[in-house]
Amino acid sequence: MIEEVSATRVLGYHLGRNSRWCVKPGDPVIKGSPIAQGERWQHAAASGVVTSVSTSALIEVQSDRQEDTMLPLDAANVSATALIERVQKAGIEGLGGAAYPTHLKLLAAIRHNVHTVVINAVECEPGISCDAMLARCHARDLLPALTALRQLPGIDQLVIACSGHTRPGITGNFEIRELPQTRPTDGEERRLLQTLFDVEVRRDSYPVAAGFMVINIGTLLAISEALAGKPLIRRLVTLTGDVRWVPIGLPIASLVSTPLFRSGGPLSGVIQNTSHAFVDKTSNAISEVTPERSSECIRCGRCDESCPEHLPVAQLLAWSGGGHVQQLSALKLDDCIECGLCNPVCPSHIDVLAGLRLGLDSLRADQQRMVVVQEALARSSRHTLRLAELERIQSDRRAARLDRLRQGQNDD
Amino acid sequence: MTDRRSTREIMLWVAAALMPALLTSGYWFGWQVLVQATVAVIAALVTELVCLRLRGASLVALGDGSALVTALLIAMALPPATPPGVTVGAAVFAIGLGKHAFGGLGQNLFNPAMVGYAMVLVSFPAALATWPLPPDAVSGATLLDVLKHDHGRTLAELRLDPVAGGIGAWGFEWIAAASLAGGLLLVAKGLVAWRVSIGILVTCSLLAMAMHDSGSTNSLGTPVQQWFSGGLILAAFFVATDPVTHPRSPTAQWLFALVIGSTIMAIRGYGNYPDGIAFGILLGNACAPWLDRRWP
Repeated sequence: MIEEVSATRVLGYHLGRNSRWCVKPGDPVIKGSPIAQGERWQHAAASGVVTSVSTSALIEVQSDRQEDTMLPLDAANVSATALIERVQKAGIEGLGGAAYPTHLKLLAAIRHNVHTVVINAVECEPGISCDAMLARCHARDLLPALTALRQLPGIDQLVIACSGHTRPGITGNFEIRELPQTRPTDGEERRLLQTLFDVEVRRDSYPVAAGFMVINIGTLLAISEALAGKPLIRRLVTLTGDVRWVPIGLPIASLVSTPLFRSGGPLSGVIQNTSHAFVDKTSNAISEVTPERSSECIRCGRCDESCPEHLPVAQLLAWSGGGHVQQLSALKLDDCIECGLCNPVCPSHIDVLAGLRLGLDSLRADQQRMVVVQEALARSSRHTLRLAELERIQSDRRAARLDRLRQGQNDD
Repeated sequence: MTDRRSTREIMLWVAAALMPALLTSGYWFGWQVLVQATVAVIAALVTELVCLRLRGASLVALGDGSALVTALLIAMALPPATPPGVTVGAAVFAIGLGKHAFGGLGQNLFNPAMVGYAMVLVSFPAALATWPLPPDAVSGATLLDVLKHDHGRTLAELRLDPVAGGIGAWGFEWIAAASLAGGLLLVAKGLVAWRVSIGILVTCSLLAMAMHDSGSTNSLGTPVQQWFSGGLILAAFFVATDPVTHPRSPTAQWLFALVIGSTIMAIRGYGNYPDGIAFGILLGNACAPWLDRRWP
């Protein structure tokens, strides 16, 4: 069994996109009851009292006896609509790390006539072992979700992709495919589809558009629990090597003692401030970090050699600092999969990935700006067209009126 | 995960690999070589210290070994009889102007050692053209000088001249052999971009072969004579491979080597300087950013 970390004093949650809080300060909440609704539902991971609500909400934990659950659904007979609604109301997001709302993915899958569901258990980053532990301890609990997904309209193939140590010991109406040898980045969904099905999904597209839906094995377990009526209020977290069930919302400070911590694996993780940070649905691994003193880049090129996408990493790093968007996109920073293989090879101990992420942020900000500009341009041209149209209608009417007047005069 | 070399370790390996060449140079050209190396190292470290202080940077960088390598390369490039003041000048220019003026380690466009060396080379051309000669030398010039200026002899005749040594130039051939050994060590340890080294040596060989006539000093001699005279091998393995100043991708590195190799041969053949190493490398350095951008 996997040990469970219990919620002790306080829990904290950040409001997801397109969602709103449904509690006020002072409201009592019980474990499992919703505190935010909308695109990203959030539930209290323990009973207590809401103490503050703004962009984030804090709950003071009191007792943990009661638990709020939803009605169980029969996995064998659940309709697509009921499943999607349940997944949304259980607050399920991609637990592999991307945190894309799963109900949106299911909807997109139906819209794009997805034919194959791939369960991604190819846990490839050294230092994360949630999926391996899950496959070992909860394999049978995956069955309801597998049954439900198999029944979605249009699905004719269900594949569990795993590596040797993440192989779940179950059989059923699905196929288990084991990758012979996994290297970091093998589990990245585009690479996985390339390996398994020889399908190339471009960076500006998504697997569902190619007919494949990739779901992390942790997310799959969350779907099983949602079918049983339990919302997503805990997740498996690799805590410096050990895997634990951790309540979502737990302050990071109660897990690590350093002022900085790494959220995610040792390669691709993000270093963050421990204070005011909480376990969220993306926290697949948490470890303590003591920052290394870095020296200057000597452009030795080891990062370039390490890059699975063959990007000129050293050059990208240099451009990333100043946010030189043109150069960054010319050198294809978009193709970076943020695997972090460039970090451990740096002789100057530079956090290369953190640097590249600065560049990625500026690229994304720029793309958003472009979207806004294009929308404005589109609005403006629509406006011009409408004015022209109105003008035309008015002049037509004027002409018609003149015609009528002339006709009246002729009649006289 | 922790199996990586630190920058300091890389620099110290490069310095260590230079030692055989330095000691060989001491054996052939006399103990002044070692004094010169010491002077250059001290001058470089003091300049590094002053520059780091002026820039308000951490003094930890003093121990990164990069100034040490720069100083050793300057000491190898200068003739043993160079006045100490000139050596100090080269080291100060190298570290101050070649490195810190650009923003310190990793930011410099040109190889610092070659910046310092080129600076004193154009300032004191006569002092820097005087290399030790074999005791019974006839011509009073090194092999490269003979090949450039002393036309009208056959290579067979030249072979009898003591400056010609065994296969290359007297003294230089052994330094070149020691550099080759050190350089191959660096290549084997994966510390230098081998494409750059091989590219330079191949370019020089091909050009020497192309210019070769039936064996007179009107040509530039054989590829072997080119390799084993002057500092070609040293430059190919220790100077041009400075990671800061060479381009990244394989294509860019081959072209970088082509630029350096052909400049060196052009100066060796037609220039006014005894050797073209420094200018070849500086020209290559200047091309590197463009090569990086064109072939990322």
